[in-house]
Amino acid sequence: MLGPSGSGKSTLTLCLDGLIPHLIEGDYTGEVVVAGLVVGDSPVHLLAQEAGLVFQDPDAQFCTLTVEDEIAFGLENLRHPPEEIEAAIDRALSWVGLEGYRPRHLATLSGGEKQRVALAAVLAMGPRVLVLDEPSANLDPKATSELFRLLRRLARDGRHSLVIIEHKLDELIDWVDSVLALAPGGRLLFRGDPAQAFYDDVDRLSDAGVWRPQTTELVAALREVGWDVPGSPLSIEDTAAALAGTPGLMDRLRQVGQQGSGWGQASPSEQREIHLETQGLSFRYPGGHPALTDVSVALRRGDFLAIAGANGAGKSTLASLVTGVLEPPPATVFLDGRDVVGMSTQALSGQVGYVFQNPEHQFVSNTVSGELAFSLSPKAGRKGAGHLTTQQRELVDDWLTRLGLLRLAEANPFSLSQGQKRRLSVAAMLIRGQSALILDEPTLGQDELQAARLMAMMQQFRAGGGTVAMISHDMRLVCEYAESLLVLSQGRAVYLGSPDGFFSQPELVGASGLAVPALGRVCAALHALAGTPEGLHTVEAFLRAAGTPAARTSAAAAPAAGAAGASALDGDV
Amino acid sequence: MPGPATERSATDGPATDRSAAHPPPACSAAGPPARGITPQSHLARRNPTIKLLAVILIALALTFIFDPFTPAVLFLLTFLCGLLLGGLSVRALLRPLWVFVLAGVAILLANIFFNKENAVSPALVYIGPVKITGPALWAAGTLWVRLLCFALLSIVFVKTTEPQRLILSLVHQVRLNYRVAYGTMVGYRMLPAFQRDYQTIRAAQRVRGVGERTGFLHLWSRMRRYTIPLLAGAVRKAGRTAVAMDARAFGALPNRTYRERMVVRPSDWLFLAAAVAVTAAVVVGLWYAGITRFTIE
Repeated sequence: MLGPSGSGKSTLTLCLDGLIPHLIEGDYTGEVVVAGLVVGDSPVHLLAQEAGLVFQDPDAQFCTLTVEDEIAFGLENLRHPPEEIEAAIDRALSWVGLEGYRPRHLATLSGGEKQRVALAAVLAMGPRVLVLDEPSANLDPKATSELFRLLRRLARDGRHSLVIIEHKLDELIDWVDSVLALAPGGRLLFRGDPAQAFYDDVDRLSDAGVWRPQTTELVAALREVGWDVPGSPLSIEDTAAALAGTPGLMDRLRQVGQQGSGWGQASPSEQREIHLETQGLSFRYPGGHPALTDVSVALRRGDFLAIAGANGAGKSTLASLVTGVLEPPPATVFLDGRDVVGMSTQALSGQVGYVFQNPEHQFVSNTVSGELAFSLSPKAGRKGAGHLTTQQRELVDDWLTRLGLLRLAEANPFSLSQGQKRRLSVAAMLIRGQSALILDEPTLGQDELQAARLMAMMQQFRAGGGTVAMISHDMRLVCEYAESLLVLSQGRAVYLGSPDGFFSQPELVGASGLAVPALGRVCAALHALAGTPEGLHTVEAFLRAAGTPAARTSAAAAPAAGAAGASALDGDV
Repeated sequence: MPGPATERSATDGPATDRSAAHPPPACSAAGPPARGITPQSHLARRNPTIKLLAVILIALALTFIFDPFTPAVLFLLTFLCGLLLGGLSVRALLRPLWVFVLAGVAILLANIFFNKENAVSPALVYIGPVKITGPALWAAGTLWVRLLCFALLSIVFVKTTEPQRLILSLVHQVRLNYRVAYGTMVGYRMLPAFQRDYQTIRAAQRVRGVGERTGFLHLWSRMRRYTIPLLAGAVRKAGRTAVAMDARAFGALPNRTYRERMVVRPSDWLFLAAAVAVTAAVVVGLWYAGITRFTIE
């Protein structure tokens, strides 16, 4: 089930379980039938046994304190006898691969384990329909892959029908049977076959802000420049096969690989001065294990660094140390060559902005314009725009216009949409004129249009000399926008370099709790299939490498030497 | 020794030893000690409601006593009880008391300045212009030791009671409405998250250049700034949890079954009787010795 933020996806899932219309108030017309039960006429406890809901936030869906109690909870509500419940707990845990977790406290589980417990708790009630509302939103890439593998197994056994709301389609698309897309306002945008959704009707979907699988994006982009890609491939394998079957494309890629980095970006950053730097930074929370060990990274002016790693790898700790939220040890964090330990929090936060994961946490004013005014003058933020100078007031209006929030200037920031809140919180940082910005998972819960607008803001900031570091679990975003990538694993920097270089090492990617983005896997499949070069992880990289087929005649003259081309490239990467 | 206080809720059939039915799994080494398996210490095995009743009775007795020595003896006994029967460390028992030790200073000052006996009693000593009287010190000492005793009773209770067992016991023994009981438990579960959010919001606002000014005048604006995001998050989260509970048929039927049922065993009654008897013996003994005084003569 797809659709931009606020298109009613979650509302529809609540209808499947009977919470609407039985427990949530509102006007309800029409009819919903789940597993033969008319929802409006069936009691909730019957519907709960037919449709099981798993939600986005693992912590907000738990009702008890331990794994076994959590799984028992629904069965107890349905008045199952205790002996039956004991057996059902063990059964449900074995379905999700968590045997032995029975007596564990929920608070000690990782995010991925929590989602599996939530799934087990629902499965124990024996539903035929499983409804999952963005189950991977709070998970790191590896836990996401594991969860999806588990779901795929459940879908295959033929006993369960799955309904999934998901932004990250790349992992799912090859086993989705049908796609339902909603438009803002909850209108039906599309219903039918996934190949049709992402090939024939793709314009309607992407206009509405729906994320598309990367594979289809690549095929569409290649077709646009003239390559004749056959079929409507969705999965990694089908896409690789379709590209391999595209007349002339493999020869071109092999040839480019042989020539060396025909698509590699020149990196002029070495000429720029170092802006923000950590040297041998280690940190341990009081009474805790080491959160960071010997991390050294340098950002030059205008750099875009992505910080990735499994949950708990130390990403947020690093961000907190660099921005003065936590105090780093002396002589480990430097801003423009100055040790930040000597600087006040105020002075540091005037230079380095930190955009938190939840925009609401950073709101300090009653109005949208007040948020921006506060950044220019705290007094104006408290007492109103009257305390701003004319120049400052123009600046606020200018930013409101850019954000498209001029109409909502006097609205409460809490009443904005997810995307608006995010952009406002970033703008409230940028308007202070900071030279560096650290963002913690800025695109979490954002749809494609919102994420693209946010990234456009970042590119604009960089064009003006701003330095950006972004924590993200979205590997696709990392490949598309970041110049360099820092990968943390258990507090250590296990990789620092170009994103392409990292994703060309699948073992390291897996060991760091991350996952290769879909196009990286297409690239690897092509490499194995046809000996094309490695290191193509974005649509843009593919396009740069492939060029246009019009130039094919000259390319055909060069001898195709796949293996040699690939090894020449390895040296380059 | 009495058996575990929990057993299968089957109406008939013998009590099964849960630790035998479910041997600790291999992976539990990675996590904290397991719940649901028989609690180890004597106090932890007691039925929570009965234990709560014992605490309430002792606390009630304390409110009628107005001398520092009787609560001191009860404090000592509670301490020993926590140490020997509760299996708690000295550190675990005494560390949370520091706030209440500090509160003693406030109690002392309040009595030195405001005790109504001060005007009619002779001064023991003058510190500058401040007159310090016997009744003021007596009252301060009494209130302080009583407070410490209350605090220690609570500490021993909290540290030997699993919240979920208490909730279940209140449902089973006191017939608390199960909807209310589970609501309370979910609220309890959210407290740590609430605390984390508070820390995050403070940090998030500090990097926006919000000064952490501590003056009284700024208290209001600071409170408002923290409260709104905190409450917005909490309300949303509570709403989501409520939906998740409803989705699993919580409250859809008038009653529900329980995987484990809390029962009151003879050993629990014995514990309550012992607690009451010891308290009574201390009070009566000290009263004979002329030490215990009562608030109501």
